[in-house]
Amino acid sequence: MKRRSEALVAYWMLAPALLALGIFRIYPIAVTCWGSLCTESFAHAGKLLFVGLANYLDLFKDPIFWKSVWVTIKLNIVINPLQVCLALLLAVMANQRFRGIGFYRLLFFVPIGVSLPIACIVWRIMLDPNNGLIDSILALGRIPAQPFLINQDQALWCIVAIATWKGASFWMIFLWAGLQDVPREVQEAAQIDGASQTQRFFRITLPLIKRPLLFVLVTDTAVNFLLFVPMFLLTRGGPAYSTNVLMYEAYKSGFTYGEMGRALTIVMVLLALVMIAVVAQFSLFQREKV
Amino acid sequence: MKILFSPFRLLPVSLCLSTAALFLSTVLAARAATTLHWLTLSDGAWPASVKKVIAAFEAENPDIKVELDLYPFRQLFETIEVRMKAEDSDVDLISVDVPLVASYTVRGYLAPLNEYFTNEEIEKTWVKPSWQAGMYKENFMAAPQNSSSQFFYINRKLFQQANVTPPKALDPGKETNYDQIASIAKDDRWTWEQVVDAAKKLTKDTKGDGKIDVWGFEFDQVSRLYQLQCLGESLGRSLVSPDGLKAEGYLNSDQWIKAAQWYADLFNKWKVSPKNVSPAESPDLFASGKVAMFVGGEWNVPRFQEAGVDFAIAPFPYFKEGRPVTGTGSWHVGVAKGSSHKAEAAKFAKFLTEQEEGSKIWFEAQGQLPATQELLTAIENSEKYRSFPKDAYLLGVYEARNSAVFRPVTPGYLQLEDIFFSTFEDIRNGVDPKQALDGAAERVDRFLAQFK
Repeated sequence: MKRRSEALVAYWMLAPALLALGIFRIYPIAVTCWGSLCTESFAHAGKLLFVGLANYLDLFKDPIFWKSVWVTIKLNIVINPLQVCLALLLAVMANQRFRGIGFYRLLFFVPIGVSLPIACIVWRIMLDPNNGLIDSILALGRIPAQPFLINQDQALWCIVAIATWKGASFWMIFLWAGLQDVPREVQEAAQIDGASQTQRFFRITLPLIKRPLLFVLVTDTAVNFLLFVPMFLLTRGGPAYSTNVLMYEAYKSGFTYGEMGRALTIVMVLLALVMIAVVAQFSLFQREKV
Repeated sequence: MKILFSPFRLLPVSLCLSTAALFLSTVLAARAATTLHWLTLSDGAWPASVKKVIAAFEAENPDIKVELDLYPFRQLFETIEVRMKAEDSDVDLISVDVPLVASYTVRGYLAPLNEYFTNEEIEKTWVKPSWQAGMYKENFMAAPQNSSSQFFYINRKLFQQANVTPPKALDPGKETNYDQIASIAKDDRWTWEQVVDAAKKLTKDTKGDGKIDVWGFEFDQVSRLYQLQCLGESLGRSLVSPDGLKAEGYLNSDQWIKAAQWYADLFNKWKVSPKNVSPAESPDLFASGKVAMFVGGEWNVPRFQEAGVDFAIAPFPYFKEGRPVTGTGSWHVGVAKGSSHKAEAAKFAKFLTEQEEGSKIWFEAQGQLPATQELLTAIENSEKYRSFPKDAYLLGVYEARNSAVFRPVTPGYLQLEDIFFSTFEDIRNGVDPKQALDGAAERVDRFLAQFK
């Protein structure tokens, strides 16, 4: 009886959080799911019609959709490990203590202070193939001018570079906080036992920051699956759909082509992909624990 | 009593009273006036020109205020989609790009205007193609704000410096009548082949640093359907089938592939046009003397004059083996179906598009080719339009009668326009024209299939 009343109290305490979860997470997902099963009728002034799985079947027959899936996966395969590794490297560097470290820490923090749209516009000017700064620097080394964002082989990697420049510093903060929790005595004991710096990093530091690392990896993956601003501001999904990630394709379907059913179907697919990636990451870390 | 009326007590009391009076009068005034919200363009001189019409309208109708919700060209369409789908009752007026009248009507974005504009009035006010473009079935859905035409702008100074003979054109300091303009357009209109030959000579690296400082040629609306439609149409092929439901065999026809190859070569083979320049930026290149030849709308005339560039205006070029074709059609204004101030919104639409005062202010401020019979007749008859640059409107009238082609009438125009733009951006950036157009036709047809 006592246990039951304790559970009741616990549920009451959890109620505000559960309510918020329901309103801000479950409800939008339910609306999206329902919307993906409907389409607008052109004969009846945009009235919603239930079409079952027709949107999914149409989407799976569309080569542009599959190209978007591939671009999204390709982007995430590269950008997530790159951002997490760089963030870890920056965190280790920021965790050092020597004279003048404050200046370096300030440099690491600069990208966080610049909003992503502003960063995109600044990088667009620097990567301009006509009069851009980067091409001028390349010219000093006698390297021919590069098209960057207007070339289908380079555009996606330019976006990876811009998003990493912005993202790595942000994720660094979490890992740096984790590094500060690593007990100094453990490091010193290992040093006395003759462990090299590399051994100490991989055998002591890394296992001890596993929790913030998992948080960064999972959140970064979710954020990058939904990456949209650079594609919207810099390439509009081009050239030749080379940066047309699922999020941008969903946006374009809904807001440019007025096909909200298709857009919501893409969002559901994106949700499934993010969930698969996150579950895989969690299970990877769990397995290592065993 | 003395204490009661002392200045120390009177001051705060009078301040409180006057603040309360001000607050009340503001609240009452706000209640009395109807405020209309208009979703419209933020590009170029558009907002400033629109505000001149609004000022005149508000002076005549003190109980109606018009507020602008401004968006750049591409974002405007997206915002209309979002806000109309959300049944936003705060939107009263919408700027409608004319090929979208049918699309907005069937999706319930626009309210019919028949109640406010009689058929007789409509036919009397505007030229037929313009008012017809604003109709859907029997209903008048959007009123024509203006029409448009396309000119070929020449930087005279750059031609002189490069020692290149320019095409026969309307020049500053010269008087020209309609017959002379017709003669230039018929006999001396340049071909695209001549444009490329001249552009090669005009493209220059003046500083010798390996970077081009003066470009030979540039489009105003780079990669946009409105302006590039004339390329394939000049070679004799429309973008979609006559019923507007098929792009395969049209958008990827031999004629369009040839036109697209020519467009690609401007940027990649002959390198006479700059890459990575958006339609919003391209007129500035001509205005600042960085482009020698520019094809663009008549609305650029005041902008170039203001910039002090020494320019002349020639008829829009065409392919040697084809025929002259120029873009036309422009913005209409519609009343939002969900508006709770339809009558007031229609009153403003009428003032802007139909009434002499409003349409004249708009024409003089924005400089776009009018759609009203009255203003077009004035252009043809008035001496004011015989000297440069006003005589360019006579060229606009000539093109409207002889070479103007409307954009395709298709329920999938929204998709066609966006796919066309991204495809021609890809072509500009080096993608094979045939491959790009085949993919585009397939994608457009995928969208058009839902309307069959």
